[in-house]
Amino acid sequence: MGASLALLGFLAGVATIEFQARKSPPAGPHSTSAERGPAERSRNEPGEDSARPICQNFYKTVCQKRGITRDPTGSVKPDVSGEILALRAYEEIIRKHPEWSSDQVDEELVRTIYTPKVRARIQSSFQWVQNRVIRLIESQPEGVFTKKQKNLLKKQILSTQLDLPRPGALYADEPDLLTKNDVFYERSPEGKIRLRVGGAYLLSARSWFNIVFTLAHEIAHAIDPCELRALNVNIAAYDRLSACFLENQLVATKRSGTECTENDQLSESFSDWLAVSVVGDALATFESEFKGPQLVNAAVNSVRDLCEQDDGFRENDTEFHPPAEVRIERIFGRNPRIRSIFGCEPLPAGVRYCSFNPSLPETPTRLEIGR
Amino acid sequence: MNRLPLPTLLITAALLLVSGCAHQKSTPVKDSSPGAEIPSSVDISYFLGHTRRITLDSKDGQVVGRNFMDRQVLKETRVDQGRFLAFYRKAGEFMQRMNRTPAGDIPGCRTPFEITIKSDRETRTYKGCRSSDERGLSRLVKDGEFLLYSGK
Repeated sequence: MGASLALLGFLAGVATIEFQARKSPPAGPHSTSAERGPAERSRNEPGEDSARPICQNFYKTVCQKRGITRDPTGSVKPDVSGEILALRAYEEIIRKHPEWSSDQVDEELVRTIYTPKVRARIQSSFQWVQNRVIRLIESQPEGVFTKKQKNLLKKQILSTQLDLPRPGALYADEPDLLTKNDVFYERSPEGKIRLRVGGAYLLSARSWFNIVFTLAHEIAHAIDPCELRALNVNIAAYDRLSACFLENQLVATKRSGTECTENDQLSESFSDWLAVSVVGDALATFESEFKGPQLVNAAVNSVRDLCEQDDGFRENDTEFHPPAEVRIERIFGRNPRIRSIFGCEPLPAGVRYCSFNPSLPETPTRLEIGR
Repeated sequence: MNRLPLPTLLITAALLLVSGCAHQKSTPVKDSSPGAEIPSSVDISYFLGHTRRITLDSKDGQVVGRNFMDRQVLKETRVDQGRFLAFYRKAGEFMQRMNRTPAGDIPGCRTPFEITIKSDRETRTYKGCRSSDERGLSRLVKDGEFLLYSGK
């Protein structure tokens, strides 16, 4: 029931929706092999992975999809499609109002793209993600984060503001963002932390799961290792996590002491890692509501835009971001919770998924998955 | 009449020469041809999630503008010559205002940009970092988009 309300709330663009963790599977048909409940899913049968393509190769499952991909909450289009749509809207406004100035056209473009419904959807998703990240921080034991460290991290997250334009209050200092697909985190020279959302992104990504991953990735930058370093904050758990990233080749090998300098991938890998954890929560919220292929599409949509784009023109940014295959296969596909949701076999011996708390078992039990 | 001693004159001349060179952010190729400068192109390349580019090229009195995303042409159109000239001046003024350290000297710049304007007399290039240029580039790009999509 909680997930249904959440889905309806999201689709209706209600400003504040609290997604309730499911305590028990709802009544309803669960007759196909793809719809096993959590209890059944924890029993792995021989050759189980071969029955689930996503378990065999997350990267291929996500990135082999072409064109638009749909899940019950919405679709994800290639980045270029969103930008073409935004520019078409822009051009149409100019055509209808040839006497308008550039600022007047921008104001109308904001009204067209950043509608109250769209703004409410993004704002509610932002709050949901913030809450999930706060919960992740709070759930860490004292040996991982002290109370003081938790308060600092939570403060960073809660200080991050979502900066969405409204008519009359455009991105006046960054007007070209209205037609761009970019979503980014930034800390101003005055110390203000904010997220900004390009207009084209709102036209290409309608899936809640993609919005969750994208916002979670950007919010995570408020507490990424490099951001904390810039704030002169040193937390041992972060050092362990960074070492784990390096050990598992989630970041390109760097000379010691060069983290967070030019060409470093540490902050981006951290943000992916944290966002994947939040997406795990999102998928778990709906795993009893969605049929198997729907859940797979939701997972695909959450990280769809990390793939090399369909058109072949994309010059992937591998300077600061790891390659798409690393991001999807190793950071997303190896997350124990994601694997558990899809009934994948546990990670092979010797492969460890990075965590703030290294004492956690490789594969979470049902209690740890805990809703 | 007081005169400066020769060594002082030489030092002063040398200082003037050096300061003139240091002020240059680009490497113009001067031409001694008489008459007004004839602008020929504006090229703005920048990274914002994707590689992006706006180009305006004037040849034989006709101006063609293009908008790229990751080397894919999103828009190609004719542009009014007068408006191109105004945009060329705007780009030149932007470059003159920018006296910050070039992107190559800003460690970890994730949003670099490069602007090149050409005329019959010179080519000027400026490299910067979007996050540290007080959003001037964003306004310039927006003006470029308006120029291309207003179809005049």
